Amino acid sequence: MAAWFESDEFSLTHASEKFEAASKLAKEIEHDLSEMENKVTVLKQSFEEA
Amino acid sequence: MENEKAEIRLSVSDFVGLVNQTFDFAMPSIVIVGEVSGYNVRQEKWVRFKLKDERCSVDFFGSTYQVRQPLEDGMIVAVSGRPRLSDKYGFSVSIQSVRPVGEGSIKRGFELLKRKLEAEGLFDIERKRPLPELPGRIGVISSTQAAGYADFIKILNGRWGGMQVEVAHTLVQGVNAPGQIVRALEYFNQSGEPPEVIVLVRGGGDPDDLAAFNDEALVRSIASSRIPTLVGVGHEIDVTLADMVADVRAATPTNAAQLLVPDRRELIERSRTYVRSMIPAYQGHLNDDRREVKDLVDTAEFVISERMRVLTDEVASTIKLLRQYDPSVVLARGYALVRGDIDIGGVIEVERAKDIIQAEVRSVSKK
Repeated sequence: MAAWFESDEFSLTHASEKFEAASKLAKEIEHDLSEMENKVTVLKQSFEEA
Repeated sequence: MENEKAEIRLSVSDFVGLVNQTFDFAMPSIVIVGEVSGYNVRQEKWVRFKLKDERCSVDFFGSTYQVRQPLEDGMIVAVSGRPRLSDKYGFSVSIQSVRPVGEGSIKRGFELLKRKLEAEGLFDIERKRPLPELPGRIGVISSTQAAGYADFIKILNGRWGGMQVEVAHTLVQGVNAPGQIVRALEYFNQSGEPPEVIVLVRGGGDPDDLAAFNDEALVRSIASSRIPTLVGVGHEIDVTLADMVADVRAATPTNAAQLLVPDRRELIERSRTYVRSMIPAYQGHLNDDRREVKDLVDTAEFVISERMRVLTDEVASTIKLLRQYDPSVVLARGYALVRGDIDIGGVIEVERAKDIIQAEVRSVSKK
């Protein structure tokens, strides 16, 4: 999207709409990335020599 | 009679058996430290050497499986084993494990094994595989009580999320550590849902602590892993053979987490930067358009004013021309306007600039 603003395809008619979409997407990315958590499981399996 | 009671008579075989039973009872496992002498490997299977000090030397015998790294005469080693009296070969200590002792011997053992594995191409750059870009499943091998493990998990959780992390808890130092780590590697490699990458981590320690990561069987197990491996053992300056054979080497457990996943905070900042970067571009386009509109308006104003000037001139000329045709102007120049019936006896009206005269027509003649 950022590239669109620099490209020849840029049009003032769609600029505002694109900017709002990009801002929204950035907020969604921030939210999703911040919320993601890992599931850490310690195996019950013993690796000692039988 | 009493002497006969005290005397124990045994066959040679019984004697050997009794001695071995006594050894088993008294010394089920002992560790003997000494200098290697007469090191010898037969049929790539059997190892024989002596351990000596200033006064004594003792024979040791075992398989290459127990002696997990190359030795050479002069190295100081600690051998764990069981004393045996063999019916064929006499007394020796049956080797359970061997590890070099002291900085010089550890270093020498490391160099010998490194040279051997290097010759086999285990450290070749062509063997290295890239790590998955964003792994969904990770297999971690470490001691869950180790500081290095805690560092790794802390940094991993801080940087990225949404991953399934399976941890195989093993020893990470001591003679039993390599075997446990090898079994953990096998577990992940044989798993029905294998991880996309196996990470082996351990924090810093002295060379003796890290010796487990120079174990030949462990190094070969890492080399044969079908899952890409990332090894982060010790501090920046510590280089183990496990590091060298891994697909990717991390300087520390923290660095392993950094190499494995991107930092979500950096990505968030990058997405913000992208959005921010749109503003000047947007403004730039707006300014360009404003300039364009202004240029058009300026041009339009110029064209209109030029047209106005031409039209104004034209109107002025027309007015001037029309003025020439104004009868009052002609009258002012002394001419008169005659109206009426031009017949003899008729009355006509003569209009001049300042008066109107009525007159009678007396004669009309052609010019």
